[in-house]
Amino acid sequence: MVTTVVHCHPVADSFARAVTDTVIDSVIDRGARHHVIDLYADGFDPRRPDPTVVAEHRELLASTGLLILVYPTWWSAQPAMLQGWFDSVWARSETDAGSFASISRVIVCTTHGSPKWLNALEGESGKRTVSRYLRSRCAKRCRFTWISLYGMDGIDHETRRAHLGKVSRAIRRFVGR
Amino acid sequence: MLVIADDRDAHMATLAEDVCRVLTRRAVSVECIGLNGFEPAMSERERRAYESDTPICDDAVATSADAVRRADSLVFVCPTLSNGLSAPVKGWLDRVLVPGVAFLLDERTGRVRPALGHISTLGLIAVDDRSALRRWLEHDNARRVIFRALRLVCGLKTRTRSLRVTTAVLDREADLAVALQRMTRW
Repeated sequence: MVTTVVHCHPVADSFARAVTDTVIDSVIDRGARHHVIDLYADGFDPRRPDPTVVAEHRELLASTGLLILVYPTWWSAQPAMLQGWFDSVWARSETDAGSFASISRVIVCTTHGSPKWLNALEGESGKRTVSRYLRSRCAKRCRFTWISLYGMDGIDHETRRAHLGKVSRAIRRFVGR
Repeated sequence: MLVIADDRDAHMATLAEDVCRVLTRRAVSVECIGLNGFEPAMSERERRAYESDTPICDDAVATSADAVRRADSLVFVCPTLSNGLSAPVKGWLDRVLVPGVAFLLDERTGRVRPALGHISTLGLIAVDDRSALRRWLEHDNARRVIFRALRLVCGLKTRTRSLRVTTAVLDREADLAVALQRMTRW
C-alpha cells in the first residue's frame, strides 16, 4: 500500500514545510512507498482544477493506504487551496463509486495560531471535515489521527522542535503496519 | 449589506442576482462581490505580509476589505461541495479578513481583538443537497466557520441567519422565489 502525503502551504520555508519534511523522512525510514502532492508547488487551481490532474489524484488515492494531510488551519478550517482540492477530488458525484476504500487511516498534521480553547469554541470545523466527511469516503473502519500544534503565535523554538519529534514518532508508529 | 457570492456557474450567478434583488426590495443598500474571478489561494507574498502593517497586497482584496469596513451585514452565498464553504468563499475569508480588517493583534499581550463590531447580521445562503441525516452525521462546517469562527470577531449583538436551498429548488423559479422570501425576516 502507498502512503500519500498532501502538503498545502504557500511559503517554502514555513513550519508546515518542516512538518512535511519530517513526515517524508519518517515514511522513507520505514521503507514505505510514498507519493507527495504539493498543491502550491504543483500549481493546483482550486477554482477550476484541470480534469486530468483531478483524475490523476483520484487514481493515486484509489491505491493509497495511508493518507497524511499537512496544512495550517486558517479561520478554523483548511486553507482555500486544500478546500478546492477536497471540492474537486473528494466531492461526491453521480458517476463515481463514491469512495477511496483502500484508505485505512487518515493522519492530519496541522497548526493553529490560536489556543486550543478558542478552537473548541469555534467548533473545529477543519477537524470535522476530515474526521466526518473525508473519512466517510474511505474504508469502512478507517482510523483518524489528529496531530495539532495549538497557539503557534506564542510558542518558542524548543516547543516547535518537540512537535516535530512528536510527528516523527506518530508517523513511524503507523507507517508500514 | 455586503453579499459575497461564489458565482462560478450559471445557477449560482442567478441565485446571487436573486438574493441581491430581494434584499434591494427591502430598501437596503446592497453591494455584491462575485468571486468568479477572485483567486482563492493565499499567495506566498500575502502569507509573508500577514502579520506586517500592510497585509493586503492585491487590488481585488483591498476593494473587498474596504467594502467590509463600510458594510453593516455580511451575507455569504455558496454551494456546499465537500461539507464546508466552497474554495472561493473560504479563500475570500483567508485573504480579505486579515489583521486590521477583521481583528486586531495586540502586540503587547499577543491577544486578538475583534474588529467587526459594526456587523449586525451574518447570513449564509448555502446550496446543499445533503439529507438531514447526512448533514447531522458530517456536521455542517460552513455554518460553523461563519456562525462560530467569524461570529467571534463580530459584536455581541450580531445576529446569525441562514437559508438552505437545494439544486432542485434552484431549477424552479417559483420555488426559489418562495425560499428567498424567508430573507425578508432577516
